[in-house]
Amino acid sequence: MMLNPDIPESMQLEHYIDSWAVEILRKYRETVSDDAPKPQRAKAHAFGYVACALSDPMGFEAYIEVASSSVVTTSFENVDSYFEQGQSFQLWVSEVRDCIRAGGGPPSPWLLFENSVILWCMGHGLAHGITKGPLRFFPEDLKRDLLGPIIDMSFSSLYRRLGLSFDGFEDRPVLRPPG
Amino acid sequence: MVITMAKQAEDRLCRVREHLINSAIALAPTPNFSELTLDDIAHAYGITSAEARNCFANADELVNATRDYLSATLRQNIDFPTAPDFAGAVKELVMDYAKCARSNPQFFRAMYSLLPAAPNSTSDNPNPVVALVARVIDRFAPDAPDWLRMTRTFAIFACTHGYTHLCTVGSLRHLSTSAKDFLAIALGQHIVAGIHDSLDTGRSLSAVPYEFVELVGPAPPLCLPRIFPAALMPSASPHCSAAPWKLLPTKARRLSLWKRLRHDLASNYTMPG
Repeated sequence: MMLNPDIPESMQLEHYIDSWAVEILRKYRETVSDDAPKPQRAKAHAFGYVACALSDPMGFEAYIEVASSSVVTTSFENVDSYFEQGQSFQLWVSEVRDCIRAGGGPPSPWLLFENSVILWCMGHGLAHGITKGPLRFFPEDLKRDLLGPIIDMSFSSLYRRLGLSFDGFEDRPVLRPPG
Repeated sequence: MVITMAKQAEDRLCRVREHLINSAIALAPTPNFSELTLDDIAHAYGITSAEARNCFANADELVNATRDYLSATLRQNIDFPTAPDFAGAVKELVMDYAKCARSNPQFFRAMYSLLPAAPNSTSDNPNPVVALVARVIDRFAPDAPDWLRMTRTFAIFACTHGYTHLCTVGSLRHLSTSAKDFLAIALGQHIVAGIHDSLDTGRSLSAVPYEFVELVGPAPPLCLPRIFPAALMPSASPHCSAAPWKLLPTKARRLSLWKRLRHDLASNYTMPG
């Protein structure tokens, strides 16, 4: 299949890389059952985002640089979106939307936008930091051990700031896993 | 007359030194930067080998000088937070770092390429931003155990770095300055709410799967797709020393990457509809 001459090349490229990211994100979401509590699904999604970068650091960098789709959420249910969002970003938004809905939070498009972008920033900082950024020389086991507590911290913040119910979270001591 | 000539020579040397450091900053994010020689870096910006050698003995000396320059500039632009509370201090840090990076994307790229962080959360960390975060945690939670301090330090750093990277080179760069500032404030609040009282209690909310290893296991059990074959990746080339990537500045490298992606796109992808 050749490139479609009727569609701008940059758009096709962006769509192609986005599909690659979505494939990885879906694989990670599938590791947690559909009826699992929302924080678990959201955490698996965040691991998946980091896995995109670990699987192909150069491709991940290109993915971030060519992305031009909107990150603005115009409605909570995403029924009247004026701007097209990338599929992988839509997955972030849908995880956050599910958490807000399941936790009894307000269905506000602004809160959905703000929290989706902030959680994306956290996932992105980890993903980029450990592959191409300042954390890339950390020992592999340290990188792996840091991911869980940092992602937990960020998702628990979403629950605290919006006053959501904490189903799916456990209050645990912060200890480095053995080994 | 002699004094004037000596002064001119000294000025000229300073200018060459400055150009060389700027060249290193521009080339730092390129793959295989660590393999570049002093001549490679000098020639990329039209400086002769002789002029370069008057300033630096080799590439390592130039890279160290560039690191010092980047660290000093960061320290000048990001002050230690003055807010009396933890929340205010974190917000100040996020805003200052983001503003500094957004004002010069090339500087930001060089900074994360050349100033790697050490795996500790102490104030002598070679990455000045991690060192600042560690100092903030030291000030407000001096007795926190090591692992707790480490997870909180790198959590603050990861959120700040992710936000700054997306605002500088990613999709968030299209947002207005006021929207970016608003998000920076919200990010500060988010970090503080996430850390909550964990620095005092040593406990935090967690969701299963607790760790990355539980989800991915040792050696990749999930077969993850790659964008393009590993053999085409510059860092995987068996002939790295002869790779043309070595001498290309960032823009040319991106064009080359674009061509590879285009080739892979044309051969593997079908546009829906």
